[in-house]
Amino acid sequence: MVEITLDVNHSSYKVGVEDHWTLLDVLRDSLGFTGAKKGCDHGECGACTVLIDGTAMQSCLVLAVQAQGKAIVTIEGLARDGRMDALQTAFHEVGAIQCGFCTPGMIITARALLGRNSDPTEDEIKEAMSGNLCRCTGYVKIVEAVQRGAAAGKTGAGTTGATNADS
Amino acid sequence: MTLPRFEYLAPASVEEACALADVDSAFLAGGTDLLVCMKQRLHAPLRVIGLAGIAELRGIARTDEDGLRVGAATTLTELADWASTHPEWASLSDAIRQTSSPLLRNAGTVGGNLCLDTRCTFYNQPPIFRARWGPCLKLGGGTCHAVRRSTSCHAVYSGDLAGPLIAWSATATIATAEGRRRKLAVNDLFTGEGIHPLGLGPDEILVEIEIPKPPPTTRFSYQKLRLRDTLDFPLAGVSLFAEVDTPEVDAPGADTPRPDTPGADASVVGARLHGARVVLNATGPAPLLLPEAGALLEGREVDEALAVELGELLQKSVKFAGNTAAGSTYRKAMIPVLARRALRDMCR
Repeated sequence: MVEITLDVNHSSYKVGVEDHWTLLDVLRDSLGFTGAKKGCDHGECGACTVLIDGTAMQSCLVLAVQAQGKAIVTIEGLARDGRMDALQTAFHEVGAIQCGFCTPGMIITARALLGRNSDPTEDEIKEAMSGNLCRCTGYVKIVEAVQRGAAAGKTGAGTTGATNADS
Repeated sequence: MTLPRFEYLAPASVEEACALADVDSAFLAGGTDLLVCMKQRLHAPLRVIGLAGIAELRGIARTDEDGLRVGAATTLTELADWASTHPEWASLSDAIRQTSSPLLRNAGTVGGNLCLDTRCTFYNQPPIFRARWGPCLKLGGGTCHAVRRSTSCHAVYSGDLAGPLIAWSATATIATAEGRRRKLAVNDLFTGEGIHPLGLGPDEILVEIEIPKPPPTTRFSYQKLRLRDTLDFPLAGVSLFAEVDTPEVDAPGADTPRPDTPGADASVVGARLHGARVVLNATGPAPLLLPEAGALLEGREVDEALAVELGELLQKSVKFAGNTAAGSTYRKAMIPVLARRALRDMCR
């Protein structure tokens, strides 16, 4: 067991880990950030997606020891001052949630997309989100929610998200 | 499934990494292949040597001859993004973006994709499934489950980048444990053996690839067969790289814009090809450069007859084993379709 420091959701955590533990397991089991979901655990479903230095990455395929010194943002880190991120609000309002298991990964991937392209086309959204699977198959609403989140981001309505993606 | 226990090492230089390596270690780049295989207990190295902290392995630079030098640990996203903003390299970007999913391309690296292990539906399974049919040749057993009574392994080399890079005449630089560097054509990285697809020692590292600047009239097409438009490994792939003369077409209908949607009816006329390099991938244990296909295309104007000839030649060059997500008959039938689509891209 080695002690490492992880920067998660703008706070610093000292945590003891084994070399073979994944970032996903440490986030969920050691630090309690259960918003990152364990779906396939093989990099195919996207449910465990987190931002690492602003890039959307699947935390089931990252070792915890590799994540030292990097800014990690999970779904829990998007809301600021008690206000949800524009994308969270959009997913809620549009009803882009069925069972909800894929939602944190979907929102994190969408946040990274909007961080580099604030006005994506429908095709760009579908392409960017294509590594996130929704087994309830609620894709139409998910795409709609990302479009709505993008529009809200442009008008600055109810969002702190743009700064998260840049952090 | 958890990872098997190992010691993680993070060397700061290529030489240090090579010195740490032996038969009980594995190099970790993006982790999108190795960690999955480890979770499935296909590999259980005692030491995992992380390459992410080695600056020399990162980045894209121009060579003296205006080609590209790409560090092996450059992510697929980084190379695709760079190439998409440089017109002469943009078709390479299109090929990279057919690899896996955007999320996995954020982690997966150029070197990692080239050094991908071979795959087989009887091999890439959790232990509980594999226990049903016993160890295959690649797992040290005595039988190939994909091709009965075969004494060689038929696992499929499923990297997407190798075909395109071989078509672009790329070279690879390998660092050896003795501190030396050797350079070889990307095509020569592969052994053709399903069990050990790469001719790299356990203490050798792919450091970088060099891609020569393409001649100005070059066109390139990578046609990939897969079940979904994302995530999937290739079931077959055709890469076609050629210098293209597009003659002033005086044929009837020349003013009509060429259809650019995929489909059997799109035009395949109006280009003359030179120096074509044709590579098949995901058809067997190694990518397959086919000089005879290049010879067939040399100086010929693309037309329907040529598409048929190329399709037949490519189809004759491969023998599929039934060990991927789609059946061999379908994959074989699609080879001429992929060849035709690649030729159509030459005529755009």
